[in-house]
Amino acid sequence: MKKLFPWIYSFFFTATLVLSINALPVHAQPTQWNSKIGHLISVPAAKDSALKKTVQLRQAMQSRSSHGLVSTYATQYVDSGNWAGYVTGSGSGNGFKAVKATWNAPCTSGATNSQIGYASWVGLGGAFGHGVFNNTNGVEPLEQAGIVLQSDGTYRLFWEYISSNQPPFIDTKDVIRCGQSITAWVFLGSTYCSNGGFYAHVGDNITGAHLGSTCLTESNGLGHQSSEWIDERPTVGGCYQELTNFHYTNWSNVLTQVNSPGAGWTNPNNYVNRQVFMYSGTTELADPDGPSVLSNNTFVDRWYANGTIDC
Amino acid sequence: MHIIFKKRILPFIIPLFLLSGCGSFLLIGNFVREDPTSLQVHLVNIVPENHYAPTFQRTLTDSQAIQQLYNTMQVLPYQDAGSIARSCKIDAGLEYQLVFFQGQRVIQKVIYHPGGCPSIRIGKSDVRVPGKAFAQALAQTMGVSEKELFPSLLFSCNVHSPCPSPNGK
Repeated sequence: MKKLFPWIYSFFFTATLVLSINALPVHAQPTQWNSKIGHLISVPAAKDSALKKTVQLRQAMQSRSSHGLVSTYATQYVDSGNWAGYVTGSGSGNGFKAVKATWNAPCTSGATNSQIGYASWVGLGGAFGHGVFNNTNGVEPLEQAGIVLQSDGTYRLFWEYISSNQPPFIDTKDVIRCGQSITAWVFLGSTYCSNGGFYAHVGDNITGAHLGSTCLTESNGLGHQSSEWIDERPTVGGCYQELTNFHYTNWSNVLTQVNSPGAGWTNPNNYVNRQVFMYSGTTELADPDGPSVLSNNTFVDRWYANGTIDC
Repeated sequence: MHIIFKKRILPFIIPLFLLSGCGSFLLIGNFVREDPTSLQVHLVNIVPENHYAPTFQRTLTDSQAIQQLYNTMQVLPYQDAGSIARSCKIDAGLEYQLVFFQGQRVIQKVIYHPGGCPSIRIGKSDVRVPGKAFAQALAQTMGVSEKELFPSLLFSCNVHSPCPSPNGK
Protein backbone atom coordinates (compact mmCIF):
# COMPACT_ATOMS: atom_id res chain seq x y z
CA MET A 1 0.00 0.00 0.00
CA LYS A 2 2.83 2.32 0.89
CA LYS A 3 4.45 1.64 -2.48
CA LEU A 4 1.22 2.42 -4.29
CA PHE A 5 0.78 5.82 -2.69
CA PRO A 6 2.99 7.83 -5.09
CA TRP A 7 1.15 6.37 -8.07
CA ILE A 8 -2.29 7.14 -6.61
CA TYR A 9 -1.05 10.65 -5.87
CA SER A 10 0.22 10.90 -9.43
CA PHE A 11 -3.20 9.93 -10.82
CA PHE A 12 -5.02 12.62 -8.86
CA PHE A 13 -2.37 15.20 -9.70
CA THR A 14 -2.80 14.48 -13.43
CA ALA A 15 -6.57 14.55 -13.22
CA THR A 16 -6.52 17.89 -11.43
CA LEU A 17 -4.22 19.44 -14.01
CA VAL A 18 -6.29 18.22 -16.96
CA LEU A 19 -9.53 19.46 -15.42
CA SER A 20 -7.99 22.85 -14.64
CA ILE A 21 -6.77 23.34 -18.18
CA ASN A 22 -10.13 22.38 -19.66
CA ALA A 23 -11.74 24.97 -17.44
CA LEU A 24 -9.66 27.82 -18.87
CA PRO A 25 -11.84 30.19 -20.92
CA VAL A 26 -9.54 30.29 -23.90
CA HIS A 27 -9.76 26.55 -24.31
CA ALA A 28 -13.43 26.41 -23.71
CA GLN A 29 -15.38 24.11 -25.94
CA PRO A 30 -17.01 25.79 -28.96
CA THR A 31 -19.43 28.37 -27.75
CA GLN A 32 -21.74 30.96 -29.27
CA TRP A 33 -19.32 33.08 -31.18
CA ASN A 34 -20.68 36.57 -31.58
CA SER A 35 -22.78 38.19 -28.96
CA LYS A 36 -23.21 41.49 -30.75
CA ILE A 37 -26.31 40.60 -32.67
CA GLY A 38 -29.54 39.70 -30.98
CA HIS A 39 -29.01 41.40 -27.64
CA LEU A 40 -32.02 42.44 -25.63
CA ILE A 41 -32.94 45.98 -26.49
CA SER A 42 -33.65 48.65 -23.99
CA VAL A 43 -36.71 50.11 -25.69
CA PRO A 44 -39.50 47.82 -26.82
CA ALA A 45 -39.54 47.61 -30.59
CA ALA A 46 -43.19 48.61 -30.84
CA LYS A 47 -42.63 51.76 -28.80
CA ASP A 48 -39.52 52.59 -30.78
CA SER A 49 -41.34 52.23 -34.10
CA ALA A 50 -44.29 54.30 -32.98
CA LEU A 51 -42.07 57.09 -31.72
CA LYS A 52 -40.04 57.03 -34.88
CA LYS A 53 -43.03 57.21 -37.18
CA THR A 54 -44.43 60.17 -35.24
CA VAL A 55 -41.14 62.02 -35.42
CA GLN A 56 -40.67 61.33 -39.11
CA LEU A 57 -44.18 62.48 -39.94
CA ARG A 58 -43.69 65.67 -37.94
CA GLN A 59 -40.34 66.30 -39.55
CA ALA A 60 -41.68 65.70 -43.05
CA MET A 61 -44.50 68.17 -42.45
CA GLN A 62 -42.09 70.77 -41.08
CA SER A 63 -39.83 70.33 -44.07
CA ARG A 64 -42.64 70.92 -46.50
CA SER A 65 -44.18 73.82 -44.66
CA SER A 66 -41.27 75.89 -43.43
CA HIS A 67 -37.62 75.57 -44.27
CA GLY A 68 -37.58 73.06 -47.06
CA LEU A 69 -34.54 71.01 -47.92
CA VAL A 70 -31.57 71.93 -50.00
CA SER A 71 -31.47 69.03 -52.41
CA THR A 72 -28.37 69.65 -54.47
CA TYR A 73 -27.30 66.05 -53.88
CA ALA A 74 -29.45 62.98 -53.34
CA THR A 75 -29.29 61.79 -49.77
CA GLN A 76 -27.10 58.81 -49.09
CA TYR A 77 -27.26 56.73 -45.97
CA VAL A 78 -24.84 54.85 -43.80
CA ASP A 79 -25.45 52.83 -40.66
CA SER A 80 -22.84 52.94 -37.96
CA GLY A 81 -22.14 51.31 -34.64
CA ASN A 82 -21.20 54.59 -32.96
CA TRP A 83 -22.20 57.74 -34.90
CA ALA A 84 -25.47 59.53 -35.65
CA GLY A 85 -25.63 62.76 -37.63
CA TYR A 86 -24.37 63.98 -40.99
CA VAL A 87 -21.11 63.44 -42.83
CA THR A 88 -20.15 65.55 -45.82
CA GLY A 89 -17.67 64.44 -48.44
CA SER A 90 -17.13 62.01 -51.29
CA GLY A 91 -13.86 60.53 -50.11
CA SER A 92 -11.80 62.06 -52.90
CA GLY A 93 -10.54 65.46 -53.94
CA ASN A 94 -9.29 68.22 -51.67
CA GLY A 95 -11.81 67.60 -48.92
CA PHE A 96 -12.68 70.22 -46.32
CA LYS A 97 -10.76 72.78 -44.33
CA ALA A 98 -13.31 73.78 -41.71
CA VAL A 99 -16.41 72.69 -39.87
CA LYS A 100 -18.51 74.39 -37.21
CA ALA A 101 -21.83 74.26 -35.39
CA THR A 102 -23.75 75.43 -32.36
CA TRP A 103 -25.90 73.02 -30.35
CA ASN A 104 -27.48 72.55 -26.96
CA ALA A 105 -25.94 70.27 -24.37
CA PRO A 106 -28.88 67.87 -24.26
CA CYS A 107 -30.71 67.11 -21.04
CA THR A 108 -30.40 63.41 -20.44
CA SER A 109 -32.51 61.02 -18.43
CA GLY A 110 -32.08 57.54 -17.08
CA ALA A 111 -29.00 55.93 -15.62
CA THR A 112 -25.68 57.75 -15.50
CA ASN A 113 -22.71 55.52 -14.97
CA SER A 114 -19.61 54.30 -16.73
CA GLN A 115 -21.59 51.82 -18.82
CA ILE A 116 -23.69 54.43 -20.54
CA GLY A 117 -22.41 57.46 -22.37
CA TYR A 118 -22.80 60.20 -24.91
CA ALA A 119 -20.69 62.77 -26.73
CA SER A 120 -21.46 65.35 -29.41
CA TRP A 121 -18.94 67.11 -31.55
CA VAL A 122 -17.93 68.54 -34.92
CA GLY A 123 -14.97 67.11 -36.77
CA LEU A 124 -12.83 66.76 -39.85
CA GLY A 125 -11.86 63.30 -41.15
CA GLY A 126 -12.46 59.92 -39.56
CA ALA A 127 -14.86 58.52 -42.17
CA PHE A 128 -12.95 57.67 -45.32
CA GLY A 129 -10.20 55.19 -45.95
CA HIS A 130 -9.24 53.27 -49.03
CA GLY A 131 -12.79 53.40 -50.32
CA VAL A 132 -16.03 54.98 -49.20
CA PHE A 133 -16.76 54.28 -45.58
CA ASN A 134 -14.78 51.11 -45.48
CA ASN A 135 -13.65 49.73 -42.18
CA THR A 136 -9.93 49.81 -42.32
CA ASN A 137 -7.01 50.95 -40.33
CA GLY A 138 -6.51 53.15 -43.34
CA VAL A 139 -9.39 55.39 -42.28
CA GLU A 140 -7.87 58.83 -42.08
CA PRO A 141 -7.35 60.58 -38.72
CA LEU A 142 -10.17 62.48 -37.05
CA GLU A 143 -9.88 65.93 -35.49
CA GLN A 144 -12.82 66.86 -33.34
CA ALA A 145 -14.12 69.22 -30.64
CA GLY A 146 -17.25 68.99 -28.53
CA ILE A 147 -18.71 67.84 -25.24
CA VAL A 148 -18.64 64.50 -23.48
CA LEU A 149 -21.09 63.35 -20.82
CA GLN A 150 -19.77 62.52 -17.35
CA SER A 151 -21.14 59.92 -14.96
CA ASP A 152 -22.71 62.69 -12.83
CA GLY A 153 -24.85 63.89 -15.74
CA THR A 154 -22.83 67.03 -16.52
CA TYR A 155 -20.57 67.55 -19.51
CA ARG A 156 -16.97 68.49 -20.13
CA LEU A 157 -15.46 70.25 -23.11
CA PHE A 158 -13.02 68.12 -25.08
CA TRP A 159 -11.00 67.96 -28.23
CA GLU A 160 -9.25 64.94 -29.65
CA TYR A 161 -6.96 63.98 -32.44
CA ILE A 162 -7.59 60.35 -33.30
CA SER A 163 -4.81 58.83 -35.27
CA SER A 164 -3.44 56.31 -32.81
CA ASN A 165 -4.11 55.52 -29.20
CA GLN A 166 -3.94 59.08 -27.88
CA PRO A 167 -6.35 60.10 -25.13
CA PRO A 168 -8.79 63.00 -25.48
CA PHE A 169 -7.95 66.40 -24.05
CA ILE A 170 -10.67 67.20 -21.53
CA ASP A 171 -11.31 70.49 -19.74
CA THR A 172 -11.73 69.11 -16.24
CA LYS A 173 -12.37 72.39 -14.44
CA ASP A 174 -15.38 73.78 -16.34
CA VAL A 175 -18.70 72.04 -15.81
CA ILE A 176 -21.18 72.18 -18.67
CA ARG A 177 -24.80 71.67 -17.73
CA CYS A 178 -27.78 70.54 -19.70
CA GLY A 179 -29.37 73.13 -21.94
CA GLN A 180 -26.26 75.28 -22.25
CA SER A 181 -25.34 76.43 -25.74
CA ILE A 182 -22.10 75.06 -27.16
CA THR A 183 -20.17 76.23 -30.20
CA ALA A 184 -17.30 74.26 -31.69
CA TRP A 185 -15.17 74.41 -34.78
CA VAL A 186 -12.19 72.73 -36.36
CA PHE A 187 -9.92 74.47 -38.85
CA LEU A 188 -7.25 72.97 -41.03
CA GLY A 189 -4.58 75.19 -42.54
CA SER A 190 -3.10 78.57 -41.81
CA THR A 191 -6.25 80.36 -40.55
CA TYR A 192 -5.24 79.62 -36.98
CA CYS A 193 -2.02 77.67 -37.38
CA SER A 194 1.04 79.02 -39.10
CA ASN A 195 2.28 75.45 -39.44
CA GLY A 196 -0.76 74.52 -41.53
CA GLY A 197 -1.99 72.05 -38.95
CA PHE A 198 -5.41 71.76 -37.42
CA TYR A 199 -6.93 73.79 -34.64
CA ALA A 200 -9.97 72.63 -32.70
CA HIS A 201 -11.98 74.84 -30.35
CA VAL A 202 -15.08 74.36 -28.24
CA GLY A 203 -16.76 76.82 -25.91
CA ASP A 204 -19.79 77.30 -23.70
CA ASN A 205 -21.72 80.32 -25.03
CA ILE A 206 -23.32 80.96 -21.63
CA THR A 207 -20.38 80.80 -19.24
CA GLY A 208 -17.59 81.64 -21.64
CA ALA A 209 -15.64 78.51 -20.71
CA HIS A 210 -13.65 77.32 -23.67
CA LEU A 211 -10.96 74.90 -24.72
CA GLY A 212 -8.62 75.15 -27.70
CA SER A 213 -6.19 72.66 -29.11
CA THR A 214 -2.57 73.15 -29.98
CA CYS A 215 -1.70 73.46 -33.66
CA LEU A 216 -1.01 69.90 -34.61
CA THR A 217 0.70 68.45 -37.60
CA GLU A 218 0.99 64.79 -36.78
CA SER A 219 3.22 62.39 -38.61
CA ASN A 220 0.19 60.18 -39.13
CA GLY A 221 -1.38 62.92 -41.22
CA LEU A 222 -4.51 64.96 -40.88
CA GLY A 223 -7.94 63.82 -41.92
CA HIS A 224 -9.95 66.18 -44.05
CA GLN A 225 -11.86 64.12 -46.61
CA SER A 226 -15.01 64.61 -44.60
CA SER A 227 -16.61 67.09 -42.25
CA GLU A 228 -19.23 65.93 -39.78
CA TRP A 229 -21.70 66.83 -37.01
CA ILE A 230 -22.13 63.84 -34.74
CA ASP A 231 -23.86 62.49 -31.65
CA GLU A 232 -21.83 59.50 -30.54
CA ARG A 233 -21.75 56.66 -28.08
CA PRO A 234 -18.13 56.61 -26.94
CA THR A 235 -15.83 53.70 -26.19
CA VAL A 236 -14.58 52.67 -22.77
CA GLY A 237 -12.00 49.91 -22.49
CA GLY A 238 -12.56 48.76 -26.05
CA CYS A 239 -16.37 48.48 -25.84
CA TYR A 240 -19.06 50.86 -27.05
CA GLN A 241 -21.09 52.18 -24.17
CA GLU A 242 -24.85 52.10 -24.18
CA LEU A 243 -26.20 55.37 -25.55
CA THR A 244 -27.56 57.71 -22.88
CA ASN A 245 -31.12 58.88 -23.45
CA PHE A 246 -30.26 62.37 -24.68
CA HIS A 247 -33.78 62.87 -26.09
CA TYR A 248 -32.60 65.17 -28.88
CA THR A 249 -29.85 67.55 -29.85
CA ASN A 250 -30.72 70.82 -31.59
CA TRP A 251 -27.95 71.54 -34.06
CA SER A 252 -27.72 74.99 -35.68
CA ASN A 253 -25.21 76.99 -37.68
CA VAL A 254 -24.21 73.67 -39.29
CA LEU A 255 -21.64 74.79 -41.83
CA THR A 256 -18.47 73.68 -43.55
CA GLN A 257 -15.77 75.04 -45.85
CA VAL A 258 -14.28 73.10 -48.72
CA ASN A 259 -10.52 72.93 -48.89
CA SER A 260 -9.94 75.42 -51.68
CA PRO A 261 -8.70 79.02 -51.68
CA GLY A 262 -11.34 81.60 -50.90
CA ALA A 263 -14.02 79.06 -50.02
CA GLY A 264 -16.53 80.33 -47.48
CA TRP A 265 -18.99 78.78 -45.09
CA THR A 266 -21.71 76.79 -46.74
CA ASN A 267 -24.52 74.36 -46.01
CA PRO A 268 -23.33 70.71 -46.13
CA ASN A 269 -26.00 69.90 -48.70
CA ASN A 270 -23.98 71.71 -51.32
CA TYR A 271 -21.72 68.65 -51.34
CA VAL A 272 -22.11 64.90 -51.29
CA ASN A 273 -23.32 64.07 -47.82
CA ARG A 274 -24.67 61.18 -45.82
CA GLN A 275 -27.21 60.78 -43.10
CA VAL A 276 -25.70 58.51 -40.46
CA PHE A 277 -27.85 56.15 -38.37
CA MET A 278 -26.51 54.67 -35.17
CA TYR A 279 -27.20 50.99 -34.58
CA SER A 280 -26.50 48.37 -31.94
CA GLY A 281 -26.96 45.13 -33.86
CA THR A 282 -30.39 45.56 -35.41
CA THR A 283 -31.59 48.16 -32.89
CA GLU A 284 -31.60 51.74 -34.09
CA LEU A 285 -30.23 54.00 -31.36
CA ALA A 286 -30.29 57.49 -32.84
CA ASP A 287 -30.45 59.41 -36.09
CA PRO A 288 -31.26 62.83 -37.53
CA ASP A 289 -34.90 63.65 -38.13
CA GLY A 290 -34.56 64.36 -41.81
CA PRO A 291 -32.53 63.06 -44.74
CA SER A 292 -30.58 66.31 -44.99
CA VAL A 293 -29.52 69.34 -43.01
CA LEU A 294 -32.24 71.96 -43.48
CA SER A 295 -31.63 75.04 -45.62
CA ASN A 296 -31.45 77.19 -42.49
CA ASN A 297 -28.44 75.11 -41.44
CA THR A 298 -30.17 73.23 -38.64
CA PHE A 299 -31.12 69.67 -37.84
CA VAL A 300 -32.31 67.63 -34.91
CA ASP A 301 -30.61 64.41 -33.90
CA ARG A 302 -32.89 62.16 -31.90
CA TRP A 303 -32.39 59.31 -29.43
CA TYR A 304 -34.45 56.12 -29.82
CA ALA A 305 -32.80 53.43 -27.70
CA ASN A 306 -29.91 52.73 -25.34
CA GLY A 307 -28.72 49.62 -27.14
CA THR A 308 -26.25 47.40 -25.36
CA ILE A 309 -22.58 47.50 -24.50
CA ASP A 310 -20.91 46.23 -27.66
CA CYS A 311 -17.41 44.81 -27.50
CA MET B 1 18.95 8.50 -4.44
CA HIS B 2 17.57 6.20 -7.10
CA ILE B 3 14.75 5.13 -4.78
CA ILE B 4 13.89 8.72 -3.91
CA PHE B 5 13.76 9.55 -7.60
CA LYS B 6 11.51 6.60 -8.31
CA LYS B 7 9.18 7.14 -5.40
CA ARG B 8 8.97 10.89 -5.04
CA ILE B 9 10.00 12.68 -8.21
CA LEU B 10 8.88 10.33 -10.96
CA PRO B 11 5.18 10.56 -10.06
CA PHE B 12 5.37 14.34 -10.69
CA ILE B 13 7.36 14.06 -13.88
CA ILE B 14 5.08 11.53 -15.53
CA PRO B 15 1.94 13.70 -15.46
CA LEU B 16 3.85 16.62 -16.93
CA PHE B 17 5.23 14.34 -19.62
CA LEU B 18 1.72 13.08 -20.39
CA LEU B 19 0.43 16.59 -20.64
CA SER B 20 3.22 17.56 -22.98
CA GLY B 21 1.82 14.95 -25.35
CA CYS B 22 -1.29 17.11 -25.72
CA GLY B 23 0.90 19.81 -27.23
CA SER B 24 3.45 21.94 -25.54
CA PHE B 25 2.12 25.27 -24.50
CA LEU B 26 2.52 28.15 -22.15
CA LEU B 27 -0.29 30.40 -21.03
CA ILE B 28 0.52 34.11 -20.91
CA GLY B 29 -2.45 36.15 -19.79
CA ASN B 30 -5.23 35.07 -22.12
CA PHE B 31 -2.83 34.16 -24.85
CA VAL B 32 -2.15 30.51 -25.51
CA ARG B 33 1.45 30.09 -26.58
CA GLU B 34 1.01 27.26 -29.00
CA ASP B 35 1.87 26.83 -32.60
CA PRO B 36 -1.25 27.01 -34.73
CA THR B 37 -1.40 24.92 -37.88
CA SER B 38 -4.51 26.31 -39.52
CA LEU B 39 -6.66 29.41 -39.35
CA GLN B 40 -10.34 29.90 -40.01
CA VAL B 41 -11.14 33.46 -41.15
CA HIS B 42 -14.69 34.73 -41.12
CA LEU B 43 -15.59 38.27 -42.21
CA VAL B 44 -18.76 39.29 -40.40
CA ASN B 45 -21.04 42.31 -40.78
CA ILE B 46 -22.34 43.29 -37.35
CA VAL B 47 -24.46 46.20 -38.55
CA PRO B 48 -26.90 44.14 -40.61
CA GLU B 49 -28.50 47.10 -42.36
CA ASN B 50 -25.21 47.89 -44.05
CA HIS B 51 -24.57 45.88 -47.18
CA TYR B 52 -21.24 44.78 -48.53
CA ALA B 53 -20.17 42.37 -51.22
CA PRO B 54 -20.80 38.86 -49.83
CA THR B 55 -18.80 38.26 -46.68
CA PHE B 56 -16.78 35.10 -46.59
CA GLN B 57 -15.34 32.30 -44.52
CA ARG B 58 -12.21 30.48 -45.48
CA THR B 59 -9.67 28.18 -43.89
CA LEU B 60 -5.97 28.82 -44.33
CA THR B 61 -3.37 26.10 -43.92
CA ASP B 62 -0.02 27.76 -44.52
CA SER B 63 1.20 27.03 -41.02
CA GLN B 64 4.32 29.16 -41.30
CA ALA B 65 2.36 32.27 -42.30
CA ILE B 66 -0.28 31.53 -39.67
CA GLN B 67 2.33 31.22 -36.94
CA GLN B 68 3.85 34.49 -38.05
CA LEU B 69 0.45 36.20 -37.80
CA TYR B 70 -0.06 34.60 -34.38
CA ASN B 71 3.28 35.92 -33.21
CA THR B 72 2.50 39.40 -34.58
CA MET B 73 -0.68 39.40 -32.53
CA GLN B 74 1.14 38.56 -29.30
CA VAL B 75 3.35 41.61 -29.36
CA LEU B 76 0.58 44.14 -30.00
CA PRO B 77 0.20 46.75 -27.24
CA TYR B 78 -2.58 46.32 -24.71
CA GLN B 79 -5.54 48.64 -24.94
CA ASP B 80 -5.92 51.10 -22.11
CA ALA B 81 -8.37 49.52 -19.71
CA GLY B 82 -9.14 52.87 -18.09
CA SER B 83 -12.57 54.35 -17.59
CA ILE B 84 -12.17 57.43 -19.80
CA ALA B 85 -14.81 57.65 -22.50
CA ARG B 86 -13.18 58.06 -25.88
CA SER B 87 -14.48 59.12 -29.24
CA CYS B 88 -13.67 57.00 -32.25
CA LYS B 89 -13.70 57.14 -36.00
CA ILE B 90 -16.80 55.87 -37.76
CA ASP B 91 -17.56 52.18 -37.39
CA ALA B 92 -19.50 50.74 -40.31
CA GLY B 93 -19.71 47.28 -38.78
CA LEU B 94 -17.21 44.87 -40.29
CA GLU B 95 -15.09 42.57 -38.18
CA TYR B 96 -12.92 39.52 -38.66
CA GLN B 97 -13.41 36.46 -36.51
CA LEU B 98 -10.23 34.42 -36.44
CA VAL B 99 -10.09 30.88 -35.08
CA PHE B 100 -6.63 29.37 -34.68
CA PHE B 101 -6.38 25.58 -34.76
CA GLN B 102 -3.70 23.10 -33.90
CA GLY B 103 -4.77 20.10 -35.86
CA GLN B 104 -8.49 19.81 -35.17
CA ARG B 105 -8.32 21.58 -31.85
CA VAL B 106 -9.22 25.24 -31.34
CA ILE B 107 -6.40 26.95 -29.49
CA GLN B 108 -7.44 30.59 -29.74
CA LYS B 109 -10.43 32.68 -30.82
CA VAL B 110 -9.80 36.26 -31.79
CA ILE B 111 -12.00 39.13 -32.95
CA TYR B 112 -10.32 41.79 -35.05
CA HIS B 113 -12.46 44.91 -35.15
CA PRO B 114 -10.91 47.43 -37.55
CA GLY B 115 -13.63 50.10 -37.33
CA GLY B 116 -14.12 52.89 -34.77
CA CYS B 117 -11.19 52.57 -32.37
CA PRO B 118 -9.61 49.44 -33.83
CA SER B 119 -9.16 46.52 -31.43
CA ILE B 120 -8.20 42.89 -31.26
CA ARG B 121 -10.00 40.86 -28.62
CA ILE B 122 -8.11 37.70 -27.71
CA GLY B 123 -10.32 35.36 -25.78
CA LYS B 124 -12.62 37.27 -23.46
CA SER B 125 -10.64 39.99 -21.76
CA ASP B 126 -7.33 40.49 -23.53
CA VAL B 127 -7.78 43.56 -25.75
CA ARG B 128 -4.94 44.83 -27.93
CA VAL B 129 -4.49 47.78 -30.27
CA PRO B 130 -3.75 46.70 -33.83
CA GLY B 131 -1.72 48.94 -36.07
CA LYS B 132 -1.53 49.05 -39.81
CA ALA B 133 1.10 46.33 -39.63
CA PHE B 134 -1.43 43.82 -38.35
CA ALA B 135 -3.82 44.53 -41.21
CA GLN B 136 -0.93 44.04 -43.61
CA ALA B 137 0.04 40.77 -41.91
CA LEU B 138 -3.53 39.49 -42.08
CA ALA B 139 -3.86 40.45 -45.74
CA GLN B 140 -0.56 38.75 -46.49
CA THR B 141 -1.59 35.59 -44.65
CA MET B 142 -4.86 35.53 -46.56
CA GLY B 143 -3.11 36.23 -49.84
CA VAL B 144 -5.20 39.32 -50.62
CA SER B 145 -4.51 43.01 -50.91
CA GLU B 146 -5.27 45.30 -48.01
CA LYS B 147 -8.04 46.88 -50.04
CA GLU B 148 -9.68 43.48 -50.52
CA LEU B 149 -9.38 42.92 -46.80
CA PHE B 150 -11.74 45.82 -46.15
CA PRO B 151 -14.52 45.85 -48.72
CA SER B 152 -16.29 49.12 -49.31
CA LEU B 153 -19.82 49.68 -48.15
CA LEU B 154 -22.24 49.21 -51.05
CA PHE B 155 -25.38 50.68 -49.50
CA SER B 156 -27.29 50.96 -46.25
CA CYS B 157 -30.91 50.37 -45.47
CA ASN B 158 -32.96 52.10 -42.82
CA VAL B 159 -36.39 53.54 -42.21
CA HIS B 160 -35.81 56.34 -44.71
CA SER B 161 -34.37 54.05 -47.31
CA PRO B 162 -35.75 50.54 -46.88
CA CYS B 163 -34.06 47.77 -48.79
CA PRO B 164 -35.96 46.15 -51.64
CA SER B 165 -37.39 42.75 -50.85
CA PRO B 166 -35.42 39.77 -52.15
CA ASN B 167 -37.90 39.23 -55.00
CA GLY B 168 -37.47 42.81 -56.12
CA LYS B 169 -41.02 43.96 -55.30
